[in-house]
Amino acid sequence: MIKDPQPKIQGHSIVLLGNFNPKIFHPIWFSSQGLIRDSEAQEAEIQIIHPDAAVFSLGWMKLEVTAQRFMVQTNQEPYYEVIRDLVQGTFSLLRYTPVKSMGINRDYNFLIGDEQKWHNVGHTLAPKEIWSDILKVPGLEEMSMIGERTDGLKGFVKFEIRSYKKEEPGILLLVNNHFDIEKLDQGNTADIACNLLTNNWKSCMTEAENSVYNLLAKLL
Amino acid sequence: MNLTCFNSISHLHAAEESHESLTLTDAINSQYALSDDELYGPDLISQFRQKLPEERLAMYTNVKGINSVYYSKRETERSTITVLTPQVGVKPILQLPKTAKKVDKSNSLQKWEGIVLELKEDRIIARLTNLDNPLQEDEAEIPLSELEPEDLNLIQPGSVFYWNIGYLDTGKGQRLRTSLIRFRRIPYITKKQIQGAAIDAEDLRQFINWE
Repeated sequence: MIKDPQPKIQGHSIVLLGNFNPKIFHPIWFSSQGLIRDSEAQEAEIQIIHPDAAVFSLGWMKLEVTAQRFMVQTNQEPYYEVIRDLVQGTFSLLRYTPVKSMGINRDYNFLIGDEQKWHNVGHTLAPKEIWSDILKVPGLEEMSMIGERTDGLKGFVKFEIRSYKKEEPGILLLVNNHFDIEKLDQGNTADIACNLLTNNWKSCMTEAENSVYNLLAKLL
Repeated sequence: MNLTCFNSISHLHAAEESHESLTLTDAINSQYALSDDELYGPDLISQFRQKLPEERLAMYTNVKGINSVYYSKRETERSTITVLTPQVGVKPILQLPKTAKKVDKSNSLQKWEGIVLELKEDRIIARLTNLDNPLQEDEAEIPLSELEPEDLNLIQPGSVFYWNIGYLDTGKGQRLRTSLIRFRRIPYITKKQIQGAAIDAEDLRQFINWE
């Protein structure tokens, strides 16, 4: 598949929902477990480490943990596999952490140089006829579409589209591959999340990218 | 005093959210939603612990506005926008204006996953798999001088690494060609864990009566 246009920025994130103890997630803990380099831990930019929240970044990734949500994200394409390994490593250590759901997410920021093309994206996704007597110059700002998973697993796939116009018009495309994690008779939910990552990460990443370019081909 | 105030506001917002912005996602999820208490039993400790006000949490986490601090517990999307929306009855938090920081951005032209086959005095011999086309495999010799000194202790036959060739666009507007090799990091395995695994394996062997 031809990847045209190239995104201005793209990113990947993995989000887990469950019950977490944020204060564990200190850069030094990660380096002491061998999950990141010692020098990275020492140079980490810590915003907060507190019983309710842990937020720090390492240059190539940002980690945010609250009592209900764990998220690691990167905007650096070479590090997509690395954050997957980081999540797997973390929850193979914290394997008794209750995890209820997981998202494998991709996001793309495309600049659309031609303003008319940018308008056409909105017109195609959200025809304006029904709004014409309700709003003056209606425009699409944000929309999301949700669909069932095709792999038989519990969860959904959600697309979110946001349009913006700063110096140049553009669109953000966010793909959320959501898995609900069931409590099974055997196995911890954190183990299940790690297995889902092992078995589904690659296909989620590839399918998200293919879907984004498939959609763009219809829109541009 | 503040804690009570924030909690009551949070309940109000949560109630408003659940009523006004019930999405298809919420509707689908509500079919199999279990409460935390049902799943894990009542959480007694957190009721009495001093908590960070939600507004303060929102300053650190990229949630989509103050209301979405009370995001659906099933929301696993990446959050990308930080907006603190003024709320009636909520004391505003003084925030210094943030200047946009231009960050480095790197992309891939080619990505391989490598497995170390052999470690020599000054180089490694590795099998490389093209991550865009897993059927394409190559063998390569990589000098140790190309590797990050902190990764050298991870190298042994079987170690996995990622090799990325691409561009780095610096925040200052420079484009640099990069070759990045990073070894896969997995948690350290302790002697106790190895002994435990050996005992488990022995139990399993005896269970299946494998001679």
